[in-house]
Amino acid sequence: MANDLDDLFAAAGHSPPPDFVRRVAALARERRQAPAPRPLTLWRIAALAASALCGALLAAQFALFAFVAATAQ
Amino acid sequence: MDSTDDLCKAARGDDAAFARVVEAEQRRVFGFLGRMGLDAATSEDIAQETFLRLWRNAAHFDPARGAASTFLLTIARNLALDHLCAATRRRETSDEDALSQARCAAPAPDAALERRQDRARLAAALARLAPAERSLLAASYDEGLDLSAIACLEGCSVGAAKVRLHRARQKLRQILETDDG
Repeated sequence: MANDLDDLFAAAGHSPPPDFVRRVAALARERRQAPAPRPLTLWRIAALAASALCGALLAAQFALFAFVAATAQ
Repeated sequence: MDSTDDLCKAARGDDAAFARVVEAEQRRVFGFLGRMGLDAATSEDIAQETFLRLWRNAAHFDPARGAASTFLLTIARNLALDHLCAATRRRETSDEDALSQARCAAPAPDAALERRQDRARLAAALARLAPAERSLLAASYDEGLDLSAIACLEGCSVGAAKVRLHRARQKLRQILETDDG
């Protein structure tokens, strides 16, 4: 029996079955690929920034109402 | 040979280029999964899923961020870790069973049997390591991966990969010595 780690790891790998490439290629042909990720354009950055600003304003509005309600009591 | 060009073609829907990627990289993936201590059937299932995910997500491959083999082994590693974590939860003891079976087998001086015993012995020792340590060791025995590629695969710095690898090797050596003794 091998005692060296190198020998043990050298014997540990499996061999692919003979028809593996054909089978995987056939399965891949039946499946659609995911679309490529869209690059972050200036227009998308502006839209994201506008959405974030709207969200922050809404949160600030809630906080202000909560503060006014708490002080009124 | 690196499969980067073929993977870029596969990302544009070229299935012949994808078949060339599978042909070129299948041994590497099966070797990696075997060195993680997975049995042949599980390795085949994970390898198949790895290549199908590679096909599906080929458009996400960026050659500027690393080689095709690193991208592919990252998918294989994540799938193998998912499998190992699920197996740990199910408290599978197949590796220990495999070791005891290998020990009980007739002691014929046969090379194939010896190889099987070595594989079972390693699998049983690897089963006592953390999944991340298993993948680190498996990657370190891939001839095409240098330390920076291994670090990229493991998502850590080169220095951290070096230290973790050294610790994992020591731990595995200790386990094997304890098993032998």
